[in-house]
Amino acid sequence: MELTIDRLTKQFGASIAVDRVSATLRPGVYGLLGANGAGKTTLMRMLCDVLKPTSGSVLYDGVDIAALGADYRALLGYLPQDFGYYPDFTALDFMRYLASLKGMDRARARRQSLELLELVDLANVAKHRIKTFSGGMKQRLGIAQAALNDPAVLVLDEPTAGLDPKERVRFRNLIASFAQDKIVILSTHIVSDVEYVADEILVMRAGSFVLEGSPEQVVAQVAGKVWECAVGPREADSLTARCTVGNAHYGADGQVVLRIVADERPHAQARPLEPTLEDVYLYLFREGPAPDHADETAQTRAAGKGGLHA
Amino acid sequence: MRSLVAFELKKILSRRVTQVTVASLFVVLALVMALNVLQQSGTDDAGNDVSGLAAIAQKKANAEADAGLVTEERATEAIRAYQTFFDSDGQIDEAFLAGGLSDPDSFYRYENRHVAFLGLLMRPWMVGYESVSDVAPRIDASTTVPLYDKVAASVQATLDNASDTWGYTPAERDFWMQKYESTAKPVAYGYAGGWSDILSCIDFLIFAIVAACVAAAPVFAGEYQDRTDALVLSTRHGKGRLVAAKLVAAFLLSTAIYALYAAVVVGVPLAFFGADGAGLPLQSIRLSIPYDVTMAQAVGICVGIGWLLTLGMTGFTLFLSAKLRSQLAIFALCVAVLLLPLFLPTLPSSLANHALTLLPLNGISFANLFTAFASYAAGPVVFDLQTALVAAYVLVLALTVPLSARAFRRHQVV
Repeated sequence: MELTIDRLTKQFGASIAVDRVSATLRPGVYGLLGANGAGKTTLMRMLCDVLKPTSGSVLYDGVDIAALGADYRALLGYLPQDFGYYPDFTALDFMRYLASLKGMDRARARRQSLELLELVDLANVAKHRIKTFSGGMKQRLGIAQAALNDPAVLVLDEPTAGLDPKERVRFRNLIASFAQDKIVILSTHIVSDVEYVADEILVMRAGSFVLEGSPEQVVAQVAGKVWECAVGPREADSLTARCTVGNAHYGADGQVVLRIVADERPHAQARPLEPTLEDVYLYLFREGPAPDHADETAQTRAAGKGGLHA
Repeated sequence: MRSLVAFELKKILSRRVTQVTVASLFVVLALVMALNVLQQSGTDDAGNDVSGLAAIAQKKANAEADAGLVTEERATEAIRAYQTFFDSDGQIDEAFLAGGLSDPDSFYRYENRHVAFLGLLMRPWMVGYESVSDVAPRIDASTTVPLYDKVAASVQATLDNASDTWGYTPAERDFWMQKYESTAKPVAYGYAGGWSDILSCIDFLIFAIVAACVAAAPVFAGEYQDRTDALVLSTRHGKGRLVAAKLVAAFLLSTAIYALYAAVVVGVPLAFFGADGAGLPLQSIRLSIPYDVTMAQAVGICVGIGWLLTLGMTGFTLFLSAKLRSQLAIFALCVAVLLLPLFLPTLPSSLANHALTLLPLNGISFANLFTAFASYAAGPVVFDLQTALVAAYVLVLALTVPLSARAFRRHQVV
């Protein structure tokens, strides 16, 4: 099973949302990271056959998904960003409706709907109307419907929006359990969502992939660029204005401990730290032009599950 | 597929706007039809004003008193009998006015009982808004009146004297004259109060069309507005069976709404006026009607055409729904199409008037369908309004249904 994104482009008037993106995805969890407006949602919509590309194509096992049509969508599970629902449907109705649309027979639809509702902890409200649900409950319902047909390709756009920390952990575990032999593409701008669950990280900026690799490979891109120093408040303000500050902790002694992402040692007292994925994100999405070497690293093809070329 | 249709129906019916509109219009329609019964008025044989069911009973008694075949001999006798109330100057003889309605021999008593029948007979002689008492003195009933020749002449005059705002070609004139001549004569007269009341109220079925449009408006646009489009279109059947299910659900619901409303428009008059006279010819309400159908058949044709108009407007609404996101814009466009004839006078262009007559509010009018001689000519081929409406709305359906499906399938989630 292979999903190939071939020079995929989407243009809205003069604005290019997705710019000649290419990648080959094989079973595994892909974390698609990017700031708002980076083109993640547009890319996902094209992958899910609900938005036609301006040029380029998406191939499933070598066949264009436009030609596969319903056969491709039968393999798909999709949780759109900020997804809509039918307020007067019960959770079970909603699941059964989506199951019908996914071509599942009635018995299987009911059985799997109940199982998934149980899995996302909504079994006790299965017969409650969705309009009575909290944001987190709706999001869990969305995740459950995406998994309904045991999809080969699972596309989740901002799936953790509205979930509390406990629910996020539960969600990560859910994804891990769904991901067996599937291509799971998980878009988010919340780094911790993908840090532990993704096999591959794809970082998107201005419509293109700018970085790719396993979490370790990606994190290695900012090795030696993460620093920590304790400074006075005045100096802290100055550093914050000049550098990308990931964290600032105000101590009882009046000192401020800063975590800084920078190419050069930002302060004489600064000591290097082990980078995290969040540091990579901050480094790539800091104000100003994209770092030159990000383009270089994007050229570095990852072996293993898949490769991409922007 | 069946479960998808059921879910689509549930989606439509769970919308508050749909519920309120369908229920409100139904209540208004029921009230109108109830008032139509309650506000019936007349005068009984004793000279008392009567209303409601008593007035209906009086009208029935009056019609039954004159029931029978309207031969020219019988028409002559009726006109002669009425003319006895007039003096040589054409004025009502004072002697017959004195007693009022309570006097069995009075003019008022006679006219009260026979005016409907006399109106039917004398209409071919009437000019403008003349009443039977205006026209009776000048009818020459010394010999048998040529009633049906006179009716034919009035039809011909209507066609010949038509204004430029609705011109007739020679082919259309021939069409209508042949159609009139093919009607059975002599005409049977009798009581058909329920059926004639339905025909006079048939326009109120426009409420059903409005309700059907409101129900159909969110079928596709609701998915765009509620942001469920991405969800459903990415599923296996999202661009296939779902579209079919939506169309089936919309047309099923519009048919159900229409059937419900039509049951009131047809049921209330039949319940209170009675179902008598179903087999009487339509000419029993106007001799010049060029259709050889019974009262019940005329009601059937009106209801059938109303249903087709409802389906056509549902198709039009579905097309708008598939193309537009805003349900408000869809409502506005539908209301414009439905209510345009109310605000437009007769236009100077015959072509424009022909087009306007095809709009639902005009198309669902009994007068336009049966008495207005509304026709459409394409060279030597002539269609009456009924045929033109069927052709136009079948065409609307043939265009809007596939175009709606295509628009939704191609909808881009942005």
